[in-house]
Amino acid sequence: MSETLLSTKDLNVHYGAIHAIKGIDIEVHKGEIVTILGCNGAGKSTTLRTISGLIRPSSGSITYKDQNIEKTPPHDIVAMGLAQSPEGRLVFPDLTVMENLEMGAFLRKDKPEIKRDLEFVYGLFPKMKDRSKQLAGTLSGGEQQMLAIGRALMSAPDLLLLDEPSLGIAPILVQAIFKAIVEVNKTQGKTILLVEQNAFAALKIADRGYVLETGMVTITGTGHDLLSNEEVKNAYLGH
Amino acid sequence: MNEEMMFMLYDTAQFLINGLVQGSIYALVALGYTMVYGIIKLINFAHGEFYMIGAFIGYFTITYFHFPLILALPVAMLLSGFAAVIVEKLVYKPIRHAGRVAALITALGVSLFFQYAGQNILGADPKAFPQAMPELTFEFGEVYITTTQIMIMVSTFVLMVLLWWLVGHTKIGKAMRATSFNKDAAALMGINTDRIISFTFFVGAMLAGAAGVLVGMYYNTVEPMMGLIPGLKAFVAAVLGGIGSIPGAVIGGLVLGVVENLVVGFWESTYRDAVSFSILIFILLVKPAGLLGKNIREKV
Repeated sequence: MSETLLSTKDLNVHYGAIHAIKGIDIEVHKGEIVTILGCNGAGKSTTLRTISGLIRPSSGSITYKDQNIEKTPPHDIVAMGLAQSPEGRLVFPDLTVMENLEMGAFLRKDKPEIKRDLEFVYGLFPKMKDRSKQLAGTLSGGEQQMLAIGRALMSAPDLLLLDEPSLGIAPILVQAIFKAIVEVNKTQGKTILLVEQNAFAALKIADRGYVLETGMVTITGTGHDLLSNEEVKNAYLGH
Repeated sequence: MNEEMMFMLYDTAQFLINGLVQGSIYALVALGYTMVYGIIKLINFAHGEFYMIGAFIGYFTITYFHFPLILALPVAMLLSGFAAVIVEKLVYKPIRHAGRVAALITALGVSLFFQYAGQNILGADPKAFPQAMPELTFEFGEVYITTTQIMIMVSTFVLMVLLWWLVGHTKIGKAMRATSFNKDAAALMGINTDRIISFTFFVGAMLAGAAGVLVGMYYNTVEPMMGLIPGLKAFVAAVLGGIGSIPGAVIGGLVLGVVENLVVGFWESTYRDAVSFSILIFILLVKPAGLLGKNIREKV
């Protein structure tokens, strides 16, 4: 097995009195696509937000590149090469597409490499190139999702967290986005942790998956195994 | 044109000039209100105190250190800015997650703290602001404009252009806009949002500090309670223009200044404050988003 890039150990998160994450252990290895499945409120987004440092865990540890990051501020986590495309996309509506992508590279000073990454994003999502001067607030939901992923890529991450990239998007664009995710993984060698409700699409591209229910990991396995797992089929694949 | 109409016209022109000067001051202070609100949704009722602090730093540096105005103004701006950063770090940051009402009440407390600490340390009596530049008066028919008035309008204009450039065209300005849109999204870009929030307080208080020095020159007097009413007026201006909107603060300030001076000129000076605060109530009733504000529904 290849080296571990990210791991959580007995991770617990509370929102006031609510115990949202109850002792989660997750591992992501270098080069993998790992998916976290689950219903609304299972704690998927909370897990990603905690990894990125936006929420502090009440106990447990998060290790990234052999360093504990559970107390590291979010901007320093980005600097370590861990980016996230957040739930709801959150592109900056009053900035242009191009400016949004530049914001993704906020911490970088390597101009030639930034330009190369910009070209990669434009190649990945040609629509972004066509609309580079347009305000992000005027894009469709699917285009905003592409922008959010592109923006996260602009920080040159080693690990990319994607929170529900298919949420509220036309099916045709969902396909394009999942294709892009695979391309980022295969050609750029970026490791991906993908949170999804669209279990079928996610499991088809994932090396491994975790199923989250009310803040706990209940099932885990390879993408292939989970696709044929009876419980997963009944609960998440609609068979 | 008969003579009566001529004088009416002169009067109106004179009130407009006075109003634009007064409005420039309001606009400078309102900008800080609106920027801080834009970034952490706090109505910083202590903001008027940075105007007072700026005025006193202008007073001390010119009176005792004989600074020329061109030096006293930036020094007062910087020190007002630093005062705001210290307040933000010591007072607002620890309670940032305590809710907006707690923050609002804290801001009122900070305001009172500066007013009464000022009275205790500096004395409650007004002090004469030194003549920092020669005062000349230009006459156009029966309309008068002084060098101080011109200075106030020019300084305000220059500061606004600098602010426009900072917010619109620099990396840190884009980081401010990103943070004001959504702190989490900004943090995920690698932006240190705490630092951006401090910087916003800094810039806002610099503008208020500049307004304080300019007003000291205009009215030739400074005193520890001087920030109270202009602070509230600037809040009215910010709401009038649309709180959170930078051009809105400028327009709101200028409109308020002109309206006040028309009230003083054509009606009664005692009604000035009543009219200003009536505008606040009217705007909140009729168009709470203000002239340029966006109508954004609160997220549930």
